[in-house]
Amino acid sequence: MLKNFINQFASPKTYLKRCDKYFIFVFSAGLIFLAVGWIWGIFYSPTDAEQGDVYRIIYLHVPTSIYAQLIYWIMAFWAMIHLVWRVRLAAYLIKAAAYIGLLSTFLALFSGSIWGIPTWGTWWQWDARITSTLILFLMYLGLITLHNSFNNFDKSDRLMSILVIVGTINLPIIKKSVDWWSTLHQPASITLTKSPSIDITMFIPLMISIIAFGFLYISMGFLMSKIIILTREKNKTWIDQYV
Amino acid sequence: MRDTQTMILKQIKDEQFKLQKEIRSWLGPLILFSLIMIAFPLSIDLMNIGLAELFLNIIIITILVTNYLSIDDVFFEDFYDGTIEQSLIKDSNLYVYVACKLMITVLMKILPLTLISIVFAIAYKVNVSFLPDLCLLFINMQIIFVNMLFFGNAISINKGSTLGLILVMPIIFPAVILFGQALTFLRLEIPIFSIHFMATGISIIACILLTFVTAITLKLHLE
Amino acid sequence: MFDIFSSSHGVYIWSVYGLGILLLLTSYLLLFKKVRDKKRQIKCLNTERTD
Repeated sequence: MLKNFINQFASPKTYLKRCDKYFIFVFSAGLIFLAVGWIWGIFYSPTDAEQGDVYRIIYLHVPTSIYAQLIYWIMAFWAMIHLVWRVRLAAYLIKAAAYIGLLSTFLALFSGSIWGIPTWGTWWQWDARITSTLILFLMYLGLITLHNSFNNFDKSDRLMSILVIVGTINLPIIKKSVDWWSTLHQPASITLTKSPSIDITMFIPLMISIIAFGFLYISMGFLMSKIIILTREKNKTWIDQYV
Repeated sequence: MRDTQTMILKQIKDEQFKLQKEIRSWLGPLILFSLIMIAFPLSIDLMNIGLAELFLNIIIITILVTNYLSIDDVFFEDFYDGTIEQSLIKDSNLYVYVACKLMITVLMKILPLTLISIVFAIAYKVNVSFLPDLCLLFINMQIIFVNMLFFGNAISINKGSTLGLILVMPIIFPAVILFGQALTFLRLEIPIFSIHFMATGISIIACILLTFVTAITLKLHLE
Repeated sequence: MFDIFSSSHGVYIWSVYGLGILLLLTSYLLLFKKVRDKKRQIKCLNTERTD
């Protein structure tokens, strides 16, 4: 029974059907949460005492930074599933997630750079957190490059999975870089173990934005994985019926 | 047990013999390193002000580039002439093959490069009391770099070593940051025992784990 | 209520959110287009096979 339960998630056919079923709900939820979070955060949250109004970039910067790292952890989990159980769908999801992670990291770097201009007086600093996020961006780019450079998809899937797992050593370094090295970047405002260091009127729209980006990235993942499955499984008979 | 020992010794002898014959692959990078280290002071100024600082600033990247050049396509020839395949058939895993190659690389490439770096450290008028710390740092640093570069070469064995370098560079960067910090502390005469312990631990883990991962990656290419 | 037009930091906020929305929108549009193209490609392949 457990095997059947797991198998239904391992089948690209079943996965595609679920994608189609849930996509519109996830996408709509993402848009609604994003609209609420951003409008509340940008227009109705109070001004920060130290940074003024420029802090409002937080509602884009923080969610994208969080997901830039979280997506890599999720990729590492799927890489393990792919290598151990040879589940093809896990490989498709890794590739889909790599593109989304790349987008998220780019947004985090860009929004952070713009935020740095009025607050730190510079758009770039070779600072622990910024540098390690740049490294994460290069890692995503490397993964996509690796996968696209091989004609044999099975081999490239497994190589990509191995590289994802080896690359996870960077993640704790990125997470802890702000604490380990004296740095320009402010420490985390939100942690899992302590109460947030920002005001509740700023915290709630931030949480809504984080949830919104979660939904949006999941919906993007549905679309991206659909494209990859349609490409890789195009010669299977079930694809004809699906299309 | 005795068979395994004999096999390992034979493998090491083979690797050492191969490397001895390919003089350009181990001597070339050492000469290049020397030329770069000679060129740097000439490119700054002839008064040679701040040489010791300059050395500490440039040594990590110069060593990294030299390591990359010295193990460029390290598995390429063995992959195409069937040596790796033969090793796999003989041992059913490539761990011993990769470990022996790593050992020879350490003996014939890393240690000479470390010695030459120390000679240049003296030439650049670095404080003599720093030399033992520098020696240990350089060895640990190169072991980590070489392990990652081995892994990169294994991934991109038939796509050129540049792809492998691009893939593993982001993972090497934290090591570069760590050793950069160590050199900064050294310059400020802050004790770096903790960094030595950490670097030694990381290089031991890298030797064991990454050798295993490199072996799996090579096996993947043969399947 | 914060007035994004009159604040001195408005330009930074505008540029960040502007690019963010643009990138997200472009990504979704590209993805929808690609899905449509893939489905069309598979339909053409099917037609060729049955012919």
